[in-house]
Amino acid sequence: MVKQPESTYSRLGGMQFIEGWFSFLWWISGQWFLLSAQIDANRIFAAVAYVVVLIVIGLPLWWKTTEVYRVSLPYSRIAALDNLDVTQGMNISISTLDTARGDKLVADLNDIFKTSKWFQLTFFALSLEKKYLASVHSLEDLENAPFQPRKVGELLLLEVPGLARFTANHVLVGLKRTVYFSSETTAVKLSEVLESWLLQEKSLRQTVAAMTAPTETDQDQSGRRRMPAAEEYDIMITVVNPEPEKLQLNWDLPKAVQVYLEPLLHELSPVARYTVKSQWLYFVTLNVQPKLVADSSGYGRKHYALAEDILPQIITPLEKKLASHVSRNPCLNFVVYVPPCEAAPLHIYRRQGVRVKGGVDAFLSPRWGGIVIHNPSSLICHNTSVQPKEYSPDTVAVMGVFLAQFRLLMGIPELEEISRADRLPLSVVSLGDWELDSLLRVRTMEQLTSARLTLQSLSQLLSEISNIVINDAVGDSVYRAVDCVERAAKLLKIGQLDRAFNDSKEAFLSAEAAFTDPSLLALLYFPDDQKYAVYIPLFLPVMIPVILSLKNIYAWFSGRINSKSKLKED
Amino acid sequence: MKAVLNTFACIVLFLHSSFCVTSVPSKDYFDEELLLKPLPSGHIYAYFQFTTVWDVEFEVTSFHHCHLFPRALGEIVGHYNVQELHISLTGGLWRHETWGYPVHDAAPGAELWAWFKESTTSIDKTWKELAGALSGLLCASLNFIDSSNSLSPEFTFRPTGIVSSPAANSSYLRYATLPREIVCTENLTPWKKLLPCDAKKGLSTLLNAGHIHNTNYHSLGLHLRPVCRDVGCSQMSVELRQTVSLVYDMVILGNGNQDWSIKKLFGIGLSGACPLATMSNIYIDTTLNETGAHFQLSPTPPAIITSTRGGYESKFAVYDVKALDIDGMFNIAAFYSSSRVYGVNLPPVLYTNRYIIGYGQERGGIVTKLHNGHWKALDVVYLENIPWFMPLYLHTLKILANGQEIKPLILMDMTLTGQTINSYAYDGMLKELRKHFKPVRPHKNPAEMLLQHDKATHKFEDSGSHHKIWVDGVNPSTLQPQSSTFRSPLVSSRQGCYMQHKVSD
Repeated sequence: MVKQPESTYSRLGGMQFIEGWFSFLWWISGQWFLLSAQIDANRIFAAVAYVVVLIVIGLPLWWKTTEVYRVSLPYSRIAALDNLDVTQGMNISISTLDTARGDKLVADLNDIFKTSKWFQLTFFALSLEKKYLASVHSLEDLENAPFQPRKVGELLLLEVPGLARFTANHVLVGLKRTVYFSSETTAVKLSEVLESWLLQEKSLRQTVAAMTAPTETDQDQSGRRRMPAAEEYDIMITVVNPEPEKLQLNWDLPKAVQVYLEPLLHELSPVARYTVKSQWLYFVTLNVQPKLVADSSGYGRKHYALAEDILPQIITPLEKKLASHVSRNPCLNFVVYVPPCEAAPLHIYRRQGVRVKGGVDAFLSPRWGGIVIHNPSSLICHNTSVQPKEYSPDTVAVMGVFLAQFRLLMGIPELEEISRADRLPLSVVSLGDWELDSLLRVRTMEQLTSARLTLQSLSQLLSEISNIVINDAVGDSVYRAVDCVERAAKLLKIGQLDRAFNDSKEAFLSAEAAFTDPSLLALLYFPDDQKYAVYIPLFLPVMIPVILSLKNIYAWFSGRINSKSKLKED
Repeated sequence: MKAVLNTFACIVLFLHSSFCVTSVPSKDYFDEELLLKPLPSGHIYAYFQFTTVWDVEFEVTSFHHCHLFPRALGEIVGHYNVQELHISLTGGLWRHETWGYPVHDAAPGAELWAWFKESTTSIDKTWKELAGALSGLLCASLNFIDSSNSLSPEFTFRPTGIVSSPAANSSYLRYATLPREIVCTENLTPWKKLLPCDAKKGLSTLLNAGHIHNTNYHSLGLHLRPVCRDVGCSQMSVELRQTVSLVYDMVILGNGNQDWSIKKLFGIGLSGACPLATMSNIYIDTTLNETGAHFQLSPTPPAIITSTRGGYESKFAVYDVKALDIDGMFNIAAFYSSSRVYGVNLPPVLYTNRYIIGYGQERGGIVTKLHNGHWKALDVVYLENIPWFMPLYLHTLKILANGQEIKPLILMDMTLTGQTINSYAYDGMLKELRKHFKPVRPHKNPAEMLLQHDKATHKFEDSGSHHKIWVDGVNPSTLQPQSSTFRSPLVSSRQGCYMQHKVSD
């Protein structure tokens, strides 16, 4: 809503009348002056005073006071962000027993990766002391050895002689930042593992392309699943028990959350903060009708089938109860549905008509969360003596599924199959260091691209519409965002991944804050044509006699100068 | 996909080795009660109370993991550092003279007051954000509450829950009313969603919007406070009371006689108690059976309890819904022996009337009449919230009692801005006038308070000279039961009782 200065229209009529009267007087006196032979010097000086006050002082003052307050933004720097170099520099060290083989591997890998547009990989040979490899009994010993790279973003390729005694694969990716390979492994196999598991270059390229040209490219599967970048996430765990009078669940949910989820959240703390909440919902039904399938096993020789196509309809009735009224963070929802014994066991059937393998009935909704259908055990259901039946859900099974779904939702990618290559199983930690590194890489690129696009569209908007107020807070945010983007790109190039990620997060948040600032919406001053329409009737009647009198002033002064020179001549 | 399962299998193996302990989470209890009381004027007073008591410390992190307690409300309470919260949404006026006292009194429209914790900073900002969050939760326009129409009354309100020190600092209290707010199904539905059984089982199935809002008075309430877990008060619990107060007019509902039943009042019978409830009771006040219209209950009540309070004895018929073997729909009906009998009305101890005097559009006056029916004098604390567009002249305040003029003990009047009462350069700023005083009240004759005000200075777009003006109600309050359910105070009797009732004009 345009807000206008109050005085303008109310005093407009009065001012006009006064100005009109004044100009009439001026004209009358002008006529009288022309009639009289001499023009009085005082009158000319009075006219000069009018000219000075109105034109020399008044006009610039009016221009300045009707100006919109705009902080100057670095438009050229924002435009230059288009050509920002965001290649990631990485140091990968290779350690082999035989230096010649090591040098050849370095040369081959450098050759293979020199065409990479997003990475600037530097391979170099690293010689390790023989004692580390001599007395190794298991790969876990190597994992705890001191030569493991500690810097975020680095990698070590280590040749382990006799890898065959530990595993049948040729390449084995460890839990920290090391890849173990056997003596028969070629550079091609190593590059394959690096490219598709550790560097994820295709995923990076598609993420950036999907953001810059969304109509042409789409995100890849892991990008479509990944939650959008944010500073903090909410995790909501919901237990749904549709008939508590028939089945009573004994489950200490807060304790289970603390034991299972907290370690992974702690390891992911460099990426974002997390708040975990939990609730119980009763009398909420699935709203879909599962089909009855007779079979030989199960409780009562039948079970219920949920087809894959109707799975999205399960989420809709739950949505009513999952919203938060205070938090604006993106929320990951994990739901456990425990059907009563009469409707159990409930299984999910894929589109091909087969049951989901692995004995776990669960599904994931991208960017929303996951749902697990946990059937009560047949032992409990067949015990008809006690009503309501009491059941303690299998915490390990349910939380395990949630952890796997959580990893996918946060963007930790699934690994494609590569022949003769595998990874070490997770035992003590829930997340490999190299997985965290690749997550940081993709998030950094995502945040940098998002910040750049936001800044560019904001600068285009503000330069086109010239009367949006840009206050100090918005200006600070924009400057901070531009600085952080430039700094993050520089840090990425030299391989400082963790600092680059923090800078890119700061840039993303500042750009969002500047773009969504509510003060940008207020068009406090009205557009130029309205401004002139208000002020011209006010000033024009005053200005006309003043401008016309300029002619007289000039004539009088030039007359005086001529007469003075004439006197001098005489 | 295989890799996911591999990962999952690895995680499962790892987890199985570490998890071996089970512990008991915090306990919470849910009770539901319904009181049906025939009033001497021929109305029926129905009062629902749903109580959730959660044995947990009142911290922000406690509300992250909820079971029976509604998570949506818990998040708001935890985030905004609320110690005690009272919300009521009311349609209609409670007639104290003919109906007596309700269990929870509420001013018409929306009323919200909250005590914040001692550790809260910038209370005004938190108050505004709390009002906004609650307006989203209950679909009511509570977002119009901000510092311009909120008060911090010093004498009228006391925390009803546990406090850390006996002297309550009223700067942590904020009170606001929106008398123009309308209550309808839109508010009932999200209110019902906060119950553990969510209008699917138990007494909450009786709350059908078509029948609930077809009443002379209907009020939804939400009251949250910390309470003692045991007699020694060594630990704290959180108590949430959700209440519905209804007054039915049997002339409208009845077919010529005064018979009522649960089906007639609520449109549906009761199919059973909420499985999550520890206690599910229906109380019918049968005191009038002896003195006024005689009615017979069907089915016969399994238990009758007598309660003595303040010198009055009441009899209640109690139906324990959980113990009943309900087949189909359970209905309680009352059959009256004669067609229409009105009981003798005994007005309560303290009731108030307000009316406007004066003629013309230029100026007028408001008179408040306080009637004292007690055998001795009563002290009254009087709170009034006047909107900014009604300029009052405080020097015209006259209090008459028994024909003599009396002076208030304490008269506190506060203006939020520095402007004088007659100024009207508003542009969005509001002023309030609050009066707290304590006159010693003699009995028998009503005391009158007269205040004059101007009508002519109303700005057109704010109220309109011919538009009805909504003035917030007054709060005369003249001492508090510790128990959570309705049943416990019935069997206790004490000397003094703090009572607060709200009147509007």
